[in-house]
Amino acid sequence: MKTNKGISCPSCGRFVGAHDRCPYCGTGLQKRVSLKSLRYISLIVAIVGLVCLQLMAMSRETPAKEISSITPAMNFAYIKVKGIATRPMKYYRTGDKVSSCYIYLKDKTGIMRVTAFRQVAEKLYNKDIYIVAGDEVEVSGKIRVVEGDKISMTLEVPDHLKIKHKDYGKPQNTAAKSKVNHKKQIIKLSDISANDVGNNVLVEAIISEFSKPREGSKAPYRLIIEQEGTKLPVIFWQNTFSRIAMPEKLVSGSKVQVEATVGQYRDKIQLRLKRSNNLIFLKAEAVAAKVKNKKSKKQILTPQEAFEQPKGSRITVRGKVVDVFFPGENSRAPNKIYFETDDGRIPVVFWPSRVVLSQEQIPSVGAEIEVNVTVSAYKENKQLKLSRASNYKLISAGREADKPEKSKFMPLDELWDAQVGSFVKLKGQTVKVYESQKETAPFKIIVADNESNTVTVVAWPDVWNSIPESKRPKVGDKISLKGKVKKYKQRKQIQLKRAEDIIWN
Amino acid sequence: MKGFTHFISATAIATCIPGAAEYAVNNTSYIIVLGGVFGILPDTLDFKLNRFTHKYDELYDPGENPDPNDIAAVVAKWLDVAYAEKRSVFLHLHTIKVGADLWREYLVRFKEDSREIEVEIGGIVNTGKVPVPNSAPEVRIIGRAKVSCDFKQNYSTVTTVNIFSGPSFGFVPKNNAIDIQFIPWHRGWSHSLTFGALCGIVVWVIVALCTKNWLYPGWMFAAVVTFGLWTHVLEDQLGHLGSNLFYPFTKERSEGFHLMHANDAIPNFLTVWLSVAAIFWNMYRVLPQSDNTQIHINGLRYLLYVVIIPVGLLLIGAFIAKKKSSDQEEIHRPEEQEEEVAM
Amino acid sequence: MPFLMLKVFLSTVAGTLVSIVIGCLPAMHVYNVATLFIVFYAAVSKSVLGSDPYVMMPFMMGLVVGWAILNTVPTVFLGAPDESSMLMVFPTQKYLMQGRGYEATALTAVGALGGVICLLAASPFLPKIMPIARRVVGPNIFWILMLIIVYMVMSEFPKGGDHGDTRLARLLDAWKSLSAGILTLLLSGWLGFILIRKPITTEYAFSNIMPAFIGLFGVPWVIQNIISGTEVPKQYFPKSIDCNGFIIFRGVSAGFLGGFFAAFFPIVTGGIGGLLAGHATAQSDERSFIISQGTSKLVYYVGAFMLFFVPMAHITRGGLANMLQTMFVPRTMADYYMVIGAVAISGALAFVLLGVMSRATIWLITKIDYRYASIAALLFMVGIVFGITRFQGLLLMTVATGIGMIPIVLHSRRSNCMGVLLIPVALDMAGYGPAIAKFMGLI
Repeated sequence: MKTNKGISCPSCGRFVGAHDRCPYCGTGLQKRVSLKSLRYISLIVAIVGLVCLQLMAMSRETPAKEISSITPAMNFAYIKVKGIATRPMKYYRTGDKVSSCYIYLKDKTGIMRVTAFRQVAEKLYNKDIYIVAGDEVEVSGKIRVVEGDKISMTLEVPDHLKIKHKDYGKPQNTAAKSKVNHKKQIIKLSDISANDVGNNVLVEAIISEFSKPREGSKAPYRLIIEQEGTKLPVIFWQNTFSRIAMPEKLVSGSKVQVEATVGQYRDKIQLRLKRSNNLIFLKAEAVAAKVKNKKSKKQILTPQEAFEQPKGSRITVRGKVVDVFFPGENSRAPNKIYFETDDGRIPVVFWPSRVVLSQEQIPSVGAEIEVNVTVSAYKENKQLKLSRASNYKLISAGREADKPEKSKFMPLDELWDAQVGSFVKLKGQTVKVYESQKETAPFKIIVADNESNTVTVVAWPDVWNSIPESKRPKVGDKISLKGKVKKYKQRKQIQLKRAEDIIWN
Repeated sequence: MKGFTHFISATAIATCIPGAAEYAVNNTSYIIVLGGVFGILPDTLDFKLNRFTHKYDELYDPGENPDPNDIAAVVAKWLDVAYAEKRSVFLHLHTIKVGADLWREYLVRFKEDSREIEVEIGGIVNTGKVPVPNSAPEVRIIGRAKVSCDFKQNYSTVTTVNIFSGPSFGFVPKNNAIDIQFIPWHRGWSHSLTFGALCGIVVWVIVALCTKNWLYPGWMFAAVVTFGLWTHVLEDQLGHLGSNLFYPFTKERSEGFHLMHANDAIPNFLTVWLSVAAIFWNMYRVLPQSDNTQIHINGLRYLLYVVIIPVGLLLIGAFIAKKKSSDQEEIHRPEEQEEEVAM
Repeated sequence: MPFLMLKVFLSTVAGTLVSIVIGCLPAMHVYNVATLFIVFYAAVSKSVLGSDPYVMMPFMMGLVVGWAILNTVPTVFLGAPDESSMLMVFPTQKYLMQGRGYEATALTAVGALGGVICLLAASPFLPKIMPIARRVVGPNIFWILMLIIVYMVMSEFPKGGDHGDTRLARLLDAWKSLSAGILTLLLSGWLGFILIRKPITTEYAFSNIMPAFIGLFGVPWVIQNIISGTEVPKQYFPKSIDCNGFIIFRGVSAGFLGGFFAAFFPIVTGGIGGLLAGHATAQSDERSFIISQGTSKLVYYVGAFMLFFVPMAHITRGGLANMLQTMFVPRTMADYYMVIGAVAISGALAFVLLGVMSRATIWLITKIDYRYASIAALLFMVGIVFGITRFQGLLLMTVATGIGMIPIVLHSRRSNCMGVLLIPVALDMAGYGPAIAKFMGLI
């Protein structure tokens, strides 16, 4: 083996193998030309060749293809496709992160799915990219063809998705557009009337309120959308809500496009959303601002937003006090300061032994306070737990004038089991009054609403007796009242706590 | 331990740092990779930097036809110099390459009792250390040289010089004798706990500057880096050579626990297996669960099927194999034990 | 039912027999040849003959199993080391130069057979374990791939640096091969970025990476063989192999772990898996190493294809599964057990054929210069690249050859060439790919 040219040093005779220079005596070694030249050729070919390939790649446009021309042999090709979205773009999430989004694209020749994963989907989401059926889309990405010639494309760069939103206001006359089913035109909220009941309508509006039913409740989710001063409720059920990809965008300020059926409930028009896909977020400045706010150290929530936070959340809430409940030193019950929300009242709860408020700090009804609290629940009712006096701030003292002008009254047919234990406001007409004949039985007032729904309001003799005789409700009186929802013999009833909880209309 | 063992065990430790595995997934961060990088870094620094930049008093090349007396004389000479001049002396002995895959083997014996260096020329071995048939000298070729001072070899009294790079020795005067330190450039500052802590602090500062937050996630990166490097140091401490644990506060390597050798298959594989099991469990622990693809792994079953049973079987197998080999060793037990260091 | 079984059996045998030709030619990769079969199958499936996955799938499995075992023949016999150009000699090359090439193929065959047995033993558990493993590992693959890249770079041992007058000279000498390794990794990663963003051919994009792979791995090996100045010594046929049960167990288990790791993780190849497993098990014995290489290679190629059939796992690994999914997606346990049967049949057949082919090759290399086989392989590779990807493919192959030659001429690890996929895919998975591609002006 050592007789081979170039493997031993001609000077010292030592084995040198692949070395060019003898490592022992430093003699330059004569190698076979092929071996020496190969080293340089390899490096030159690799580097110069790569530069050439790079220049070629940079100057080459991504080829545009029609969907039907995509074959299995084109798997992994990077191409450009132009088409029209057949469905709204849908975001999916894993945990609290956007994990993917899908677009269905159609051109004259076929249909394919475009998917963006993880960071790309997240970037699209953060940029508030949306697509609705009928939008013109140009997208470049990597092609995947699987069994049965099912074509899909992976969007790898957010910028490679170009969208031209369709103009609903103009007649659709291009050939491509006419092939897509987007006959519906956007209509104004104010144009929706009782004549439209049963029809599907397409609207674009801003969310002004969103409320969830209480846990365990069978009530629907309620979205109030607003357009040029006109407000309409959009209702939908749990199964629809659970499929909305970005539920956190259901906040005041988000712009949405809703395709829903016009319905009527108690003579009022409402929109009934049946499919989550029919709710599209168009613009989300408010949402983006909220998301950014969430990242900031001190995000101050309204009582309604506080109510929507999950249990265990640590939040800061600012709001007006609608009721105060300080049971006194000898009581085992905690102190409660109530905020008003669309879903009823939510108490800020604290133990006088742990949180000591000075007399000046104790809020009166109408006062504005800011509290740093933990969202918890008691008997399935949400409450805000205050653990330190330093987490409480009285912003402005309450005045009578600051009392909520309009109370939100709970419709009688919306009294659900989940509200048991919470305070509600009701209004209606007294249809019957049962006077108590003994100390251990309460007085009962049957209150009915316009729909003939009734509820029993009970007042224990001590409360009843504290109501001035002239102000005690009689049959036919229209009253408003505030009380705690109780359950007695499987029936719900409202318990009056104080004489002043009865308000005369 | 082997480089891969350090690498994977440090990676496993990184996944155990609270929040790190979750941070990696949620932020598509390479934080866990940092664990592996710093887990293998001490050896990378030693074998790719320190080894070549170390200053030697002599790099001795025995030549293609080595004279054992010459080799022994060189070793003895530098021992004497170290003693006479009361200074540390560093000597490197080259291997003898005789083919692309062939090496002439020789042994250096440090005979403390007789103050003698003995060198024996062996046969030719390939890179797998398998002797080439009929290559051993027909008669034993042994060279000797006397040393004028006492010396102590802590690591091994016999050094076999065969493949790749040869061994290095540090002759350090200590207590009126010479302390022989095997590969002195290895397991010094790079293998110290202080270096690990320093790396952690540097990484913390870098992350803090990048994220404009002094605490999070800087502390997590620092913990991954520091514990990754410390894992290496502590694993090495299980062997013979030990490390300079608190450089620059300590000047020398502290002796290892003598529980294993760097090349031992069972401890290496066991560590790798347990590390992989830990990594997988930590990945499962932080798995983002979605409603339609929830999975559940029973922790106790995982422990039983992935840790207890395989490790038990491995240990039983190793015990049987060891028993068999020790039976054979009784017939062919070499006079002295040989040592080597693996990366 | 018996007809179906007969069809599957005959297709498997046919695939295994075809693999003799592919497996015994140097640098002929099963995926490259499979490309031709798939193009042919796609054409046939649209004709009156129609498509039958129960012919195609077992045929492909037979092809893969046969190739994974029989490809040992050119690896051992047509890779004589040239000492004037190589710093390191692989164990199989040592065996060849000692006249023990047949023994090396036997050891590899033992490893491959061990791999088949391990895969069959693992097959009942895979449908239960793999969907969970895929789900758990899925979100972490991006950092695992980076971990592998980092280890490949950091674990490369310097070759040289022992001799030199100064410390700096020694350091520079040591870093020659290390730098070559890093350079190879980076250049191949660069190539990968270009290929993934701007394929050379859109119409045959599924074979886009093929010219690059042929250039990175196939052509350099053939060139090395052609210019090699070494003659293969006389080979012997021993009656037994120098090996014991413990060595086989150690080799097979290390190979299985490495091969299966590579089969499960995207982009990781059997070579990388074998390297990791070898390090994990502190392998030092050459026999154990050769056995583990046989196991690792088989488990990687066959395992990756087998995982494609694991119900509910949705694992598409390796070029073959990726190419075939355009035509057939297996869904049932019946499909799964069909391919397991095919693995067993072709594994046994290929094991027997390996002995025959080794003897035939040994006879052949004594009669004709083995360099001619290398030249034939080179011509075939050029032909296949030109046939599918035309001149652009040839250009790409040439550039890739330049990169693939660097580790050979500058003595670093050839597995660094896997940077062609590892780097762009790992960065893409972590979300950094598009930014880099944009920086490179590719998008």
